[in-house]
Amino acid sequence: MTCDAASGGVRILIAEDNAVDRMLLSNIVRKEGYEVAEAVDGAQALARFREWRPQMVLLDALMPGLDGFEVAHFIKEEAGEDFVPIIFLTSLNEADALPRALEVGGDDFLSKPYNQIVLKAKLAALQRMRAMHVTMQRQRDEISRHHAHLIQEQEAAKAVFDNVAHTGNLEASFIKYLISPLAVFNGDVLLAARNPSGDLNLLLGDFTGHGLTAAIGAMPLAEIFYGMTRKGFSAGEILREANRKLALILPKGYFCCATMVAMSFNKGTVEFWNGGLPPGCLIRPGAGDLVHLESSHLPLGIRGDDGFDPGTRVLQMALGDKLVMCTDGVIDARNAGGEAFGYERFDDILLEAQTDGNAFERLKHEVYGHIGSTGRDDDITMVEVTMVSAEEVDLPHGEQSAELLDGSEDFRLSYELGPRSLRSSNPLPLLQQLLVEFPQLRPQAGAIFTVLSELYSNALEHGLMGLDSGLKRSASGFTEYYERRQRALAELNGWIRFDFRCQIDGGSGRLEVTVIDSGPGFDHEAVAAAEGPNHSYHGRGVQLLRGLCRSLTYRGRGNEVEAVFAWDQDGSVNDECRADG
Amino acid sequence: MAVAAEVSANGEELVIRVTGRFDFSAHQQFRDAYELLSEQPRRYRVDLQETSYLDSSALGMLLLLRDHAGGDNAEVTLTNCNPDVRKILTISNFEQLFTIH
Amino acid sequence: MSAGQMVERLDQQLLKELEILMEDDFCALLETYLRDSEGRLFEVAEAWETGDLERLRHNAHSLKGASSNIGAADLAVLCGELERLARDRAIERVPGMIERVKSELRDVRDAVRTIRDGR
Repeated sequence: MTCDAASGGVRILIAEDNAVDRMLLSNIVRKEGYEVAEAVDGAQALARFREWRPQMVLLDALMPGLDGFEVAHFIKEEAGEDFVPIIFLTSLNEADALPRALEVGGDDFLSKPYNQIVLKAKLAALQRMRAMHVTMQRQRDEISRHHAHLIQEQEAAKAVFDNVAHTGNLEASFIKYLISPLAVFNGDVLLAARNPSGDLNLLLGDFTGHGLTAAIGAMPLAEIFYGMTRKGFSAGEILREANRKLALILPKGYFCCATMVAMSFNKGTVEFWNGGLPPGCLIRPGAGDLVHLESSHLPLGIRGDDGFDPGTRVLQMALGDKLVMCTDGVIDARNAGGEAFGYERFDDILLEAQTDGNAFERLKHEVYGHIGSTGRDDDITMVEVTMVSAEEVDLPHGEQSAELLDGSEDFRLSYELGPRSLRSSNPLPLLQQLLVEFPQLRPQAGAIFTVLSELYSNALEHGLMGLDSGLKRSASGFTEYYERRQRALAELNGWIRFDFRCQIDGGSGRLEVTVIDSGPGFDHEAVAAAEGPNHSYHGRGVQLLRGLCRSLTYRGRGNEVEAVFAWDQDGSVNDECRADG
Repeated sequence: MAVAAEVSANGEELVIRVTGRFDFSAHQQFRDAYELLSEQPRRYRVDLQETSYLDSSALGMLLLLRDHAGGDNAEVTLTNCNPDVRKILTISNFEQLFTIH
Repeated sequence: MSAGQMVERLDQQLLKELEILMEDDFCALLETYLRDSEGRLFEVAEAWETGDLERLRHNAHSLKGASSNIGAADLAVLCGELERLARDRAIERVPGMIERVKSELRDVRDAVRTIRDGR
């Protein structure tokens, strides 16, 4: 007899009360290369099973005391997940034995007289099954270990991401949002923060895939968003940087569909950029049609800097207007019949919401109603932002106020930008960074930054480009205005200079900012006169500035303007006390 | 979901047909359709006639194909899109990267 | 009965296979059968006397198995019959069947001894 390699080291227990049969079986099994232990009755069989842990058992059904069926029951129970095949030594024509043997988990039968060839075949078959079971168990354990590991990593990634993403400002009365994760870590990202002039930047993103890939991309995205928003960079600049970074780190084929909006509460405008997300909706109570914020760009992270278009569009938003945005999980949400929620429903609901203004709640209700109890197959993330007056914005500014420090400063600073700088970079973040270096200026940072932004855009758009702010009176002109601005920027000539003169003496101080451009100047008096009380957009800049500083003086031909900020020991600012934002 | 690939008689164009839902489950098959060719064709065409649905991972696969075919110099055409598929491609502005018929 | 007739009580082909399988243990197997079958028969008789049909049945079953394994097919059939009678409590037919088993077993044991002694 040859010793089968597969049987080597496999332990088989033979429980049989009949000495002749036991001897015979032992010999057959041993000759096959298995290790054998014998038991003469049920109690001994169980004891030997427990101490010797055999991998297969040959069991006589009829034994004195504990019979084979009872022993089999215990063995199967104690083996738990392990597969311990049991061959019952009983004749198949013993009718009452068969169902009981099956019931207690018998895997095969062997009848007398024992046939060596049959027994060998049965042992080999069960041994193969057992080996397969062991392999399956090992693979299953490996899979579940990997799965647990993956979940753990996702949880860690989520925790890290939360630390980055949740420093934002989503908990405001005018923002409503819903994020329902499919995986532990959701591929959707919702970021919001105010910049130094009090505008709200909000970014809704949807990374391809879930879990780690999304987390890996979401982290730099959040950091870039928050970091650059805090420093006052424009939406286009933030998007350009985010795209550059994501294109660099994401593997090919992975990207992030995103919409970014920058809402100016002072100006009543929203600037938006959509790359690959379903169109957002601008809801104007009482208006007829919805205004869609269509995707007109590739998603973030697909092309490098060369192919990236940071061009944004600007829309007017009146008080109470709402912006609703969602990821494609909402559009793709399927009902029990597999039917997607779809754009039509989305638009219909929002159109209805124009009459009662309850867009977010309606949409949420309808989406969940559509899904029913079918469970979701994507992430559902949606957000609604309402245009409120600057005073109602219950969110902190981009830069936290530091406590006043004692100390004196006395400096002058001049910063001039030539045409190339004007075309390619935004001087405001740099100036902002510089000014917040002086802790005494920080309580005023919001006002100073708003004034700087406005003076800069006046100098650029009116002073150098000669754009007519009168265009902004109508909605279509408004769009045209920004299109012309894009064109003019490309062929810009001239320069703009900032002169700062700052005097700080302990708790009180004075900052004078003069902005001069090389343009022909503009008739600031005429512009001021053309301002309507509330319904014009173009003049707000100047109106606003007057409220934010102690004095605002135009000089020369209108190409030079000086803003003065002053604050006193007792905390009063610009004579008329005015809080930030 | 099924992916079938066929090289034109003159060997210049590879046509990949995706039937049913084009999602992550097509990943390996879609890659194999162009990676396993002994000779690379000059042009690629993804025929979406029988494609009922396309998700973001399918967009990712198309980007991988484009990259394989030479990135910005690639000639990759997407044809016979149904309106739903077309809408997804439009929202993603993939016409900037692919010729879409 | 001649030695040849006695030996025919056993399946010669099966015995040959057993001899190859058991090698040096072949005699020990035969000895075990002789010892075990004697014990079983004793148990059967005693069970009948004490009216313990379950014990009778069990021992008939055991003798049946061992007998079939050493090639005593006729004896195994008789034991199976006895087992069935005990199970069905057909008391009136049990004593006759015990006698038939006893007589057949005697011949089988003689045949086994002959084979053992022949080695």
